[in-house]
Amino acid sequence: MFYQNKTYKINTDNPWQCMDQETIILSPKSNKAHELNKAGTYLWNHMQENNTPSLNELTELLSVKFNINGIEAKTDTELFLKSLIEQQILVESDS
Amino acid sequence: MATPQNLDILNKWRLKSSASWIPLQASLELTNRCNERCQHCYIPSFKDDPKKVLSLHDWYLVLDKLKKAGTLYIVLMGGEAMLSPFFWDILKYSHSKGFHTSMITNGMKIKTQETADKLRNFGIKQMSFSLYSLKPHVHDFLTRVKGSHQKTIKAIELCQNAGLEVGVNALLTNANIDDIFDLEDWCIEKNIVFKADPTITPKLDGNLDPLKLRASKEQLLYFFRARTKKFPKSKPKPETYIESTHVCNAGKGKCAITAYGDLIPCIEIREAFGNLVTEDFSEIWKKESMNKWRNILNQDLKGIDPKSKSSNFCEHCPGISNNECNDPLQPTQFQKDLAQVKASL
Repeated sequence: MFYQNKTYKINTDNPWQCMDQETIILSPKSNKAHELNKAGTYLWNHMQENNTPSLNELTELLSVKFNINGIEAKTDTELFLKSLIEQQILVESDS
Repeated sequence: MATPQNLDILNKWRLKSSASWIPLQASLELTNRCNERCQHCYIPSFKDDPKKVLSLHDWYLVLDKLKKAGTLYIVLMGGEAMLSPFFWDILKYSHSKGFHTSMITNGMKIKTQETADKLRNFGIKQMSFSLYSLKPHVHDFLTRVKGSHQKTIKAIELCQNAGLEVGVNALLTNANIDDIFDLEDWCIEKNIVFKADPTITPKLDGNLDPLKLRASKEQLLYFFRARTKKFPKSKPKPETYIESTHVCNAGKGKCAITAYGDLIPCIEIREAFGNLVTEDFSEIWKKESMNKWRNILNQDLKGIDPKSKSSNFCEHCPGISNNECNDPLQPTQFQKDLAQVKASL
């Protein structure tokens, strides 16, 4: 995942599961549980299947799937990624 | 086990899984083999049938199917889970699949810091140790293995050194009830989560010998009174009796897999509805025959007075009742006594 000039990967130390188009992600270190909505789950599943999607790729997917314009999709995707990075669900990758 | 901060999210997911019959938690009995011979254990023979035991590839398949079925929590157990030749590979794979993986163990195989560190590095999230007393002779009497107490204590220390989250499951029996508060104090001092549970079940072959260890009603009363006095927050809390509420989560939000790959509703209900190696999870899970376990409601139980105070404390287990009374709807005398004791506090 390439974002803001850095490469990120999913932190494999966080257990997760999807159910009814929602996702729960646990952060054992911070002892927290996070929940993704339908759109977040859609992006999360794509990120699980594709290790290095770009911001543009995710934005495009979101825009098409939920029929929203590109600007709104980009804003939402950035907020989503920022949140995952803050919660250390996405962590910086060496590669 | 620390309490997660976002209890609302976790509760929502637990309720959702139970209502939608999605097995959020799965217990995996990796092997029947054990290096202890606990008097209270429900396993009749600590052996695996070599013709039926799963291969590593089979266990990978089981985990793949559980992930697809919606499982988040995997509990590795046995027998003694670490005696499985595939323990480390299964743990590693479970972690890689994004499961929250914990284990129930006697710790006898955790002899070095390297082993404890490896558990952490392979992704184990919680360790629950079976420890029954701080007195070696009491613990060893229950496990029937001399020196087991020392080994379990050592393993707990090693796992704590490794930074793992550690808990103690103390089965409350008539042999250790007098020592239980010393053990709890020790756990508090060491920041170990402590659980005391008086539930002892018959062996799976119907042998009732383990029940001889059950604490008497008087002992239970002493224990719960003393504990409530010492730790007021530990006072058992009533759950409002509602006739239409399910008695348990078996076959709905949780399931278990035996050492041979059989899918059962929970570790107490031993009726296999299919084999997860050869069948799809959903094919087994949606079988009509499973509903007899998952649809048991409070109002179906025999001999329960809904107006009595103790009905709010009844933690009926259909599996234990079936093993003990051949009737999943008949609360055992022990379950009734326990509910009455809790209601009297």
